[in-house]
Amino acid sequence: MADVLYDKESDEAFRAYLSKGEIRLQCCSDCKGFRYPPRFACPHCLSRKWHWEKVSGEGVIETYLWYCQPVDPRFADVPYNVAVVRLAEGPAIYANITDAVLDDLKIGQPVWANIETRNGRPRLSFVRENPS
Amino acid sequence: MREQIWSKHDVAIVGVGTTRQGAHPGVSPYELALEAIEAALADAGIDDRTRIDGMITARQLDGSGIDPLDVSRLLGIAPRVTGYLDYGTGGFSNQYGAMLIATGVCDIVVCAFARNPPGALEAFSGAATYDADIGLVNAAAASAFGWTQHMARYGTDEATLGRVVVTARKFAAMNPIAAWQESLSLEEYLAQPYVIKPLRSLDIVKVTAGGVALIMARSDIARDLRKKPVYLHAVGRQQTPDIGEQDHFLCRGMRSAAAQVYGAAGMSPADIDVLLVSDASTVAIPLTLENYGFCEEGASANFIASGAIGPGGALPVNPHGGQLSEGYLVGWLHHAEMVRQLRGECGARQVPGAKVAQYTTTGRFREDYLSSIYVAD
Repeated sequence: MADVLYDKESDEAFRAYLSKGEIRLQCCSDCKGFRYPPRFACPHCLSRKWHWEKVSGEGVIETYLWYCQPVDPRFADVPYNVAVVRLAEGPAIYANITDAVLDDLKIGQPVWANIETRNGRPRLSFVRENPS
Repeated sequence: MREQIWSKHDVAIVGVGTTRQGAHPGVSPYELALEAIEAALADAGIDDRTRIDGMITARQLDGSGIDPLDVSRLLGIAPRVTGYLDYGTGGFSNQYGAMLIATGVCDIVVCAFARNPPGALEAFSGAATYDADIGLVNAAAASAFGWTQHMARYGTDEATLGRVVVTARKFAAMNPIAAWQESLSLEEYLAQPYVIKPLRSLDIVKVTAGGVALIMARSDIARDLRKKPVYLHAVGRQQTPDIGEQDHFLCRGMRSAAAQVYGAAGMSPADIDVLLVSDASTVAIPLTLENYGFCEEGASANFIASGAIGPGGALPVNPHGGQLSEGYLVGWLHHAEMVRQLRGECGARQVPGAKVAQYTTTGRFREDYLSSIYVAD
């Protein structure tokens, strides 16, 4: 993501909710549109007024890929996937589907948000099996 | 359709120069740039290099590239305008040069790019981190996302990508400066392991070193130079948002660039004799064929399998072997090939009777699209 859009404070707030077990996205207080990743202005109406709104955590895989050989030494634990997950509330998000093994993903497959801790930081991933 | 400010014969490419492509250990990019610019000046028949009044260069996301003021000093000239584009892949920098000429700011503009990054011939290009939390790395990921979606929606397969590589190698065998000239079979391609599934190593461009220079001039100046001018008829360009839009990785922004460039040139895909696609990965070629209207949506697999894009085909694509085979100078080498094809200088790989050429490119993580149409004198 471009640095100018990266909003450290909001990103930390997003993660603070994750550590409390809540998935909240920025929601515009004027047009009610959701947005991700966090940024200070609404891309729909440019309003600077927003709040954190709970989301369902339900999404659908729009597309995906599998890293089968390390292309970056920091991510040598292959294979792993990255998917584009379209959330029920509208925004799309890049995420790992953590309960899938190679060739186990399909476009259009429903997935559910899952909060996990990696490297001491809470992060959002998704799973294929409905956890509830 | 908005009208382009310059008319079809206002801006010409009058000279091209290229260096060897591949690995050049210990050679500075400025040495490569100087070699390419000298070759381009000789090609154009410009003896007095102080006539150059514009110098446009580029830098890549990895910082490789050259500075326009340093290159000018190296050449011993002081142009009226120097400038560079961050992420100035070939077409974007050319559009900048064309605008300087079309608006009367400059008469003769050198557009040059050279680089010698580490890892030549070995490392995958496109090193970038899109999301460190989840390991979303390397620009080829955008192509992998796109082809996964294409296969699911249209029933296509990976053999289509393999045929793109096999075709590129057939052309490269006829290109003396190509870094990868060995022939390759579809079976050999399919036997390779995945890197970023559905992509294999052969689908992703490698880092290479080399230089290329193009000289652009106003048409009245162009007509007095050594070679026949090649005219830049039109440019179409479109930015798109990020994954907030649906089907981002199927490159729908290409359709807007297509409408612009064909509209401004008064042409359609049927008018194109040779197509130059900036092939950072194989996926760029089927998506370009579909989104620009060379074939129907989803039909690129059959189009490619028919042999249409290869030597002797109805629409030869990247007759220099593309950057998958010749060398990866981010679209700049495609322009050198385009000019040489339109002048009929390409020997064994010459597309017979090529008069109209089109270039297309996709930038960043599928956020920039550009296409230009060039026509022989």
